[in-house]
Amino acid sequence: MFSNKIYLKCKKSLTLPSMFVYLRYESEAEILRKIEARYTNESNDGLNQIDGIATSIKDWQRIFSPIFQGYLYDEPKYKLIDRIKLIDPSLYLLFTGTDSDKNALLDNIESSSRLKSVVNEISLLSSQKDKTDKNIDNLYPLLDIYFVRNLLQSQIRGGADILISPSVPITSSKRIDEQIEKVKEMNRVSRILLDTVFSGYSEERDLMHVLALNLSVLKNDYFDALKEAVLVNNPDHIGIRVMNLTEGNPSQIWSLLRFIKSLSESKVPVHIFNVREFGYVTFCHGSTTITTPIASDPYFWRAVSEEAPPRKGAYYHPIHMTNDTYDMLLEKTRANNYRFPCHCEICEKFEKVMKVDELYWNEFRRIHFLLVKNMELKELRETTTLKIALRDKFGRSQQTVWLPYLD
Amino acid sequence: MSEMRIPEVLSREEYLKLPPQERERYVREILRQTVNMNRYGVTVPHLSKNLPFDSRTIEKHLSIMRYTNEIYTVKIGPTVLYLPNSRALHPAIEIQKTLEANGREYAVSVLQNRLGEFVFIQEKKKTEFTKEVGGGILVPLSHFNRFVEYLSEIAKQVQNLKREA
Repeated sequence: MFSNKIYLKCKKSLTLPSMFVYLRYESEAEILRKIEARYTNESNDGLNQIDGIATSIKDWQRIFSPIFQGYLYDEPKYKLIDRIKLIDPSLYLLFTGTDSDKNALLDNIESSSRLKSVVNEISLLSSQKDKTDKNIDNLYPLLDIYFVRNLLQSQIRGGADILISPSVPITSSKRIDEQIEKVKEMNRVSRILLDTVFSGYSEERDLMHVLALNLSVLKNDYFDALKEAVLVNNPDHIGIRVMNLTEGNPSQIWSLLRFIKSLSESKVPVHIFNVREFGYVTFCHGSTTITTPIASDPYFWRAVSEEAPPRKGAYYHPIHMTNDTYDMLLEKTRANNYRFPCHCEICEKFEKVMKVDELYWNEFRRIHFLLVKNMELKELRETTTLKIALRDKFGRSQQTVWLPYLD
Repeated sequence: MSEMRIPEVLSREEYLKLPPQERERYVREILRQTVNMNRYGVTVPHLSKNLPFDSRTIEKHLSIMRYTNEIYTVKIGPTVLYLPNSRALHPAIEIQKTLEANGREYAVSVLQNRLGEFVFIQEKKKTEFTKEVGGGILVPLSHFNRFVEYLSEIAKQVQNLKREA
């Protein structure tokens, strides 16, 4: 459908299949900068295969500043600044995020006090049904054209290369019609605003319409309405934010893959947000780009009452394609004198699991994750038949759960 | 007159929620798009019937666009027809290169409209979010060489003035 490159209006390009990383913390931004400085040169590929960097609109100022600040010493050959920049309006956070996420989002965009008080009132409700009803009845009217305008303006000011139309998440089977209608309205308005009020940018910035989907509501009956909502007014890109994904629910996964396939027939690049290794599967069903969080589970929410998380986070095992706890990694590597099962630059440097200082572990595993993802993408881009290469890769791993979706 | 083509527009309620300055920009841009979409011309009554703006607003913006030569008019009896001077619609020659000077951009195109063939020199000013048309002149194509010679002569005189100063 597409050649191996897609050129954007801003003159940057993405190479297919393509991967973006989604940054949530400043420390992750600093890690990217370190990889750029230490592991990207003539002999090391570093992050060269990663085409884009995305973050939430609530965080972009503090996250992008360490990445795009000037270079004090030698300018690296492969600069992060050349990557495609996305600033995600992340409106789903107003509906499904934590209180601090909601406040951070509203503090970072020009929003009315009425909007803030309605969001806070709804947060206090205990029943999910009541929350959904209040969101639609009380919050939707406040997410008007002025609100959309502010979110687009913030993205333009932040220097985003692809502007993302703000839209509400689709989460409720009972009120799905109203949710789809609101998404359609916000997408329609975004394109009109870009072509008129922000007309100086309509020839320099691509526009992406995004559906944030709870997969439990994604049924064949709604495919046409969802497609109409996301394709309204000719976006340059379309995206799906996967809000939840359960490996053990094949009907939901097939439904998502069928939907991606049907979207890809529109000949508009399809981006899948918030996916890990499953994202590779979507490449075989028509997606062009995946956006992945760094070394974390995209769908994991820790309950407030649970005990503190382990101090040493999970290590991505590049052969098994699993997220191993520290203890599990020790167990797996014991027979091989605790040598890392990986040939990325940082694992080769430390060689053995115990050599990594406890305080450095979390930074180490994130650098390792990014370097491995870069290598995986390079491997996929060099293969002649993506599906066969992925079947082999998943077949050798402990992620065989994805194999049936590659037949 | 055949049926008018119009771009996707905001509802009146949506439009009124925009800040006043942006409302002006919005109306101008919608009118620009509408005139460009209707190469055989539009009239004010047709525009006010098909777009959610009153005729006085439409007339104000059309007269600005006419002043900057983005559009031109032809009078047929009592009817004034507004036609696009758009490069996209009459691109006899498309010159991609623009000249930038002190935040202004100058673009040149050769166009053909009902009044003849012209070289169109347009000035655009980049604001924070838009590219506004600052002005534009139409030089008849048959006289363009003379026009350039005239400018060259002026350039020499300006150069001399600078030296003397």
